[in-house]
Amino acid sequence: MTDTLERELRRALADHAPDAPATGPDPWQLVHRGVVRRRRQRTGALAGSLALVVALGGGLAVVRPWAGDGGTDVVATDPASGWGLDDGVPRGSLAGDETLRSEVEAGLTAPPHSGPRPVAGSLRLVFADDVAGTRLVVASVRYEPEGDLSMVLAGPAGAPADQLVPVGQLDDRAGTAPAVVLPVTADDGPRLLAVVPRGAQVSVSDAVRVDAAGERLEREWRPVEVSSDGLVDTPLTAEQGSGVAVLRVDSAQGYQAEGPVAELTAEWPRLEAEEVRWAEAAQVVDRGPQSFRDGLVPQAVSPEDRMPVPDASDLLTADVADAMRDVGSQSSGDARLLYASGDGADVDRGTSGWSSLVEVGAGQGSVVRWAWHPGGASGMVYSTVVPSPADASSQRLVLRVSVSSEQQLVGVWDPEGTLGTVVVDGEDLVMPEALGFRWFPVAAGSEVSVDGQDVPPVVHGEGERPWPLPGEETGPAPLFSGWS
Amino acid sequence: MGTVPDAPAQDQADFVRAWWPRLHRTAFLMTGDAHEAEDLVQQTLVTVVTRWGRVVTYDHPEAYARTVLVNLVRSRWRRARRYAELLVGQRVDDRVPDPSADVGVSDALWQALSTLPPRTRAALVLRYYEDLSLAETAVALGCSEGTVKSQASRGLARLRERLDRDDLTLRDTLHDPAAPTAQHESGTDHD
Repeated sequence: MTDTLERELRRALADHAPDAPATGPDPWQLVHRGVVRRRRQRTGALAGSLALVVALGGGLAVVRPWAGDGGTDVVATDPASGWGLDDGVPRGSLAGDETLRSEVEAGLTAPPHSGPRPVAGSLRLVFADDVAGTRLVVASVRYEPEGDLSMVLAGPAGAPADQLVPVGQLDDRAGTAPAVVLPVTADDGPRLLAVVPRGAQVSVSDAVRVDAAGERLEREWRPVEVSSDGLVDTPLTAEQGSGVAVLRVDSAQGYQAEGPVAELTAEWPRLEAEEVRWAEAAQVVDRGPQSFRDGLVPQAVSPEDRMPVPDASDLLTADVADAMRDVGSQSSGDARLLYASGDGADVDRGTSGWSSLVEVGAGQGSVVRWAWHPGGASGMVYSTVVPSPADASSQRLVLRVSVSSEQQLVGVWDPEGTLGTVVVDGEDLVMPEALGFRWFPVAAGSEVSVDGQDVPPVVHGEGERPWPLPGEETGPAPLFSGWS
Repeated sequence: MGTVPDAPAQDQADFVRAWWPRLHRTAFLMTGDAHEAEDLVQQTLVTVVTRWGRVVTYDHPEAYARTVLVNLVRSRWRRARRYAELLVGQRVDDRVPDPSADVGVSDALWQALSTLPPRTRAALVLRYYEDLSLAETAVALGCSEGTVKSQASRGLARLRERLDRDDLTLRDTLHDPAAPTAQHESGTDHD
């Protein structure tokens, strides 16, 4: 009978496999366009002390089509809705430099560029200035028919356009990106440059630390000054190998974005495109009900759009990126970005709402934190991505999060269905088919176990607690073993 | 900016044009969405082309492309599925087919396939559409042959459950002279 089923399955697959269309775009043109775009992301010869650019929230979204009039008129790129760093008003001391603007645009068509050409006159300088020995330019330019692209160029302070190197590209418009981040090595040591929306508040966490007992993970945040142009220029102080620095942006528009800066190493890394994509995967999180955005700009949410959450179990979680898992790559570790966002309402109106900080660890696992906004952080939990006993490449995730002093949540992600039983206070939880992520609300003092392993309680407000699942080594996990 | 590929661009273009349709079909069978399949195949082949200097040295560049595709499918699935299910308030596999609809075995299997976990679905597509061996499937999925066997076995069991639930009977080869003969025995390696 199995033979029959297999035969029928083959038939079903053949029946439903789509036929190649008789007409349509040449696949090579589609691929070549993507290749050109990806190559522009790669760091070429780095000028001066430049290291890399991390664009928060740029994501991998397809550029938005230009709803234009057919391209007969030259129309400058449009700023986005104002959520991101492009609000339509050029910033920086060089933003009004027409020579710079035109030469940057001309550089997009000069050899060795062989791909699509931008619409003449469409390039806008979103930000341009000399900062910390670096000339930093963020520009938006229009392509037909793809639409607007935003790119980041950098070089030594004072460099002409032809000495600026494209060091990053936002697949979406600059108006949708919450920040452009650039760690550099200045004369006085490593510094972090960032361009953020005007009016945003920014804080930086240089490193994660494990306490003396090796049980708790800690992150300290320091507010950093933001200029009226939305520029951040702050020293980076973490020691080598201390993990990933994280930048947090609290925009005036009411959303928060967090994303990792490249790990500090003795030699500033030149990241491959895949690593840049990992860094770009930090998501914009807003406090409204539609709180998850996969690299897209958060929709403007009016107070009337927001809905109260009946209980804290309506949480959105998503696997933000698995970018370090790259076929055939030499990447070390197994980095994963996770975040959770509460489906809450406006915090300022006194209802629940929370966002998250995403941290990444190589090797054994990843750390996920939740913070309750605006104040009063919830209990935070350390989660471990655990290889399945049956297959080391399959992974599971179990989290315990303190929502309040009375309520906690146990989150289970078991895409391959290898976890067995979740027991709460002696009773088996009915496990649905292991597809996707499931949250189980539990009381703060509940006894919870997964596959016979106790899930320790999280004390509200006390911060992260490491908790390994069976099979994991106890003790401090080598979370940040460095990137190869 | 960028690197000049070692191989002539024509080789890359030929590879892309030759393998796009096949990869697209596989991506569609894994995702059930034509647009998503196109996007995934584009990403796959962009990766292949940007690494052409290395890929062209492989004995089977198409196997590398397939592995890249499978990984992209799985990554995309994990994100989209959780987002979608939480937005609509139900799991995708909770969709109940219309009991009044006259669904044949082929369509029933196709519907049932969409309810499987991504790796299970991928294993079945690679084994029964791509006709890959256990070893080849294991490479594409990045797992052991034992896992491929168990995934495929589990997937077939769930498909059978679905057919039983829908009261559908598989064709009996002894009495259906039009049914094709089995080319592979179950659970055995194709090689």
